[in-house]
Amino acid sequence: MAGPDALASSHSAEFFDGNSPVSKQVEVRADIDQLAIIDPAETVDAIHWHLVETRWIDGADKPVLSTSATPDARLVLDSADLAAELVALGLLSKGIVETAKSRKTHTQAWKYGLAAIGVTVALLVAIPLLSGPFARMAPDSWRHKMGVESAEVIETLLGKRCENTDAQAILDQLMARLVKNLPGNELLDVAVLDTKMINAFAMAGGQIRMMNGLIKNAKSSDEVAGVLAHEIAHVILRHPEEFAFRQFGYEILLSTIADSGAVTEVAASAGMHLVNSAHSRDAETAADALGIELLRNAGISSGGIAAFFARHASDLGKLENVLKFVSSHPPSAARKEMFENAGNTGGAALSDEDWQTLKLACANS
Amino acid sequence: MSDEPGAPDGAATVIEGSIDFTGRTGDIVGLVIKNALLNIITLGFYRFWGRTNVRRYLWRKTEVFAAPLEYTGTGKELFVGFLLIVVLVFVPYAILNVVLESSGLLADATFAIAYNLLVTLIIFYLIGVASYRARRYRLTRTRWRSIRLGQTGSSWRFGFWYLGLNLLMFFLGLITPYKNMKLWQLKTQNTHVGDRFLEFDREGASGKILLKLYARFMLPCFFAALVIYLPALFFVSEAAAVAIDSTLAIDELSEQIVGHLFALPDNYGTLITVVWPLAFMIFLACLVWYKLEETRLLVSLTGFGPLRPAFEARGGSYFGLWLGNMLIQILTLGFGLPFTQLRYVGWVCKHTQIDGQLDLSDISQSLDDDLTSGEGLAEAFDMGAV
Repeated sequence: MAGPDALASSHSAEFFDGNSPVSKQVEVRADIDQLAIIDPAETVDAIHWHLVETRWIDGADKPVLSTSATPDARLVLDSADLAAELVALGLLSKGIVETAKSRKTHTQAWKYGLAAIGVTVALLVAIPLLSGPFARMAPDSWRHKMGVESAEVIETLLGKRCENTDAQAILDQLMARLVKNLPGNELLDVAVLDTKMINAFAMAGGQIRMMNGLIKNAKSSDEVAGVLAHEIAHVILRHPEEFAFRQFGYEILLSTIADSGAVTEVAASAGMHLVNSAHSRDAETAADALGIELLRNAGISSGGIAAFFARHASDLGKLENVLKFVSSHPPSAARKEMFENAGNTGGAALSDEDWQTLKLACANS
Repeated sequence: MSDEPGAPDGAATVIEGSIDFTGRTGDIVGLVIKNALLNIITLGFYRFWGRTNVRRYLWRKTEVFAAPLEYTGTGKELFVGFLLIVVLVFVPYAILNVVLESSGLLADATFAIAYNLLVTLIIFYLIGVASYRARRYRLTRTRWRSIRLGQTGSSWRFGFWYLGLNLLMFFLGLITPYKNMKLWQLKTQNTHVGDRFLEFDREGASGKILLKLYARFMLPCFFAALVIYLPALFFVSEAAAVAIDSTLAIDELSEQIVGHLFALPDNYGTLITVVWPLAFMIFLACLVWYKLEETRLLVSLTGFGPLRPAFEARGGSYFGLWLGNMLIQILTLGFGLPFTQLRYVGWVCKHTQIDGQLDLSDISQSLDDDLTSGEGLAEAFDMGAV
């Protein structure tokens, strides 16, 4: 550490006047609140740099100093002791030189920064708020096109559409029964996909795909009708379209903040996933409620779907509670309770004969 | 320092020497870790400040004639440049896309193709503009012996050269040596140190050198042709084998040829696993060999007053640099980028010499004080080389 001696003695340095790359060897002394820069070869007066205007801008062993009075000039000290002592005494700061121009940039940067934060927050609020209304305004032609495209992707990934015409007719009738009391015409297209997965999807434009595994797993036609009612509810509520708008908005947001660093990107998309699944859980609850309504209107018991969730609650219950915050669906046990509380005891969804036919939807393929 | 006090004026201002890089990987380990952590916490927004810190180090450790470079750029400037591009380019483009998508105009195939083609052209043009602006930003933020560097010329005009020459190259790959020389010339002629500009082709040698480059360029071209046409040659020879001992009608014949080709897993295997990769690797090696020679010749046409820079590097040494940097990037999940930049700058300095003597009194600070632009556009296209 440099002692107070550093302040008393004079130090050799290289001086650039800011106009020429030719330097001068000079002597530098601390002089109360300024640095006196003396050229031993000349007899002219010393140059004085006020310490408040001076910054240690670069260099560790050989400090480079600059001053806002002549921002192009440089003083390169041969050793660090004087500058280190001045910094220790709080007389000299490190960092860039503040000129009128750079201060202006500084203020502008703050404005831009605040504007960016404002826009980000506004988008975070606006995206979920606006995606619903946008989804409801979307024209049917656009919804249909988007839905057909998603359905093609799903069919490529999971399994192709089963072409049993009898089973298809039964499914179409069941769907017609569920939507018969609705005002207006809904775009709807339901099909069974040849895969063992126990699941069903609603996509934009009323494209609904039920996995053959779900039908095989169902203990009664009421369970299938319950799942179908739930997916139709998603279509009526425009959830797939809303999801697409929200996802698009978040992706734009994400693309502006994501970095080439892989970990950053993972962290950012994990955050987006959390936000998204919260919306998704709300959507599932809403679709459950409307689904019950549809079943009631069609005179079909909601006991079947309650049984379906009861089975899945015992399988998955523990894990689901742990994953409550990352999962896109409400826990199965909670859903079972909801369906049971609906106290709905209508008739059977399908005749035994039709139910057996539906079970063979993918038997030929 | 060569200008000792007391030496007679004039003689003291003439200097000579070399360009040296004294940076060491160990020096920036802490910096790299700090940048990585802050990048994660800030969802990547720290990158502007992180990059600036790395540059300050790399510049400081680069010594030209024993005087270090100074980097005066700030993270704020990079950040502001980035925000401007988000507002002026990204957001309008996203909105335009949504409008076109929802209006159904993109469903029309002709419109969609025309639109995508136009967007591709504009992006390519902007990449040219961005690379020129980024270069100007880095130069204006660089000082040597207190003197600012800089770059004049319009980035919009450079963008047109860039787009036009690259389009020509797309149709006519053989234009590459000319394209690279032209873009190099546009950049170097507009570069200044203080009030003195770099010069290109001081002795009218560029014509001769372009011929030399073309001679060199033939080898990678040959292997590129091999990589592209070898499978085709293979198909033709196999097809010929069927055709010769056959007197079938034309559609039956073509059916047979196709069937014959698909029943050749062994030959296919050799082609795909041995011949093709080998040809591709030789092509890459030739390309490096060409690129090093190109750089050597273009540097030799460049001068600054009486100074003549020279660049000389072997393919093997470049391969070592490239392989090491690849491994660093993979093993550090991309966070080790500054290590690779340090190695790159070190490699360039090691292979660059500067001959001749420079009289410092011939140079003075330039009046042009371009402190406005950031390098947002380049950032947006992920082009920040260092």
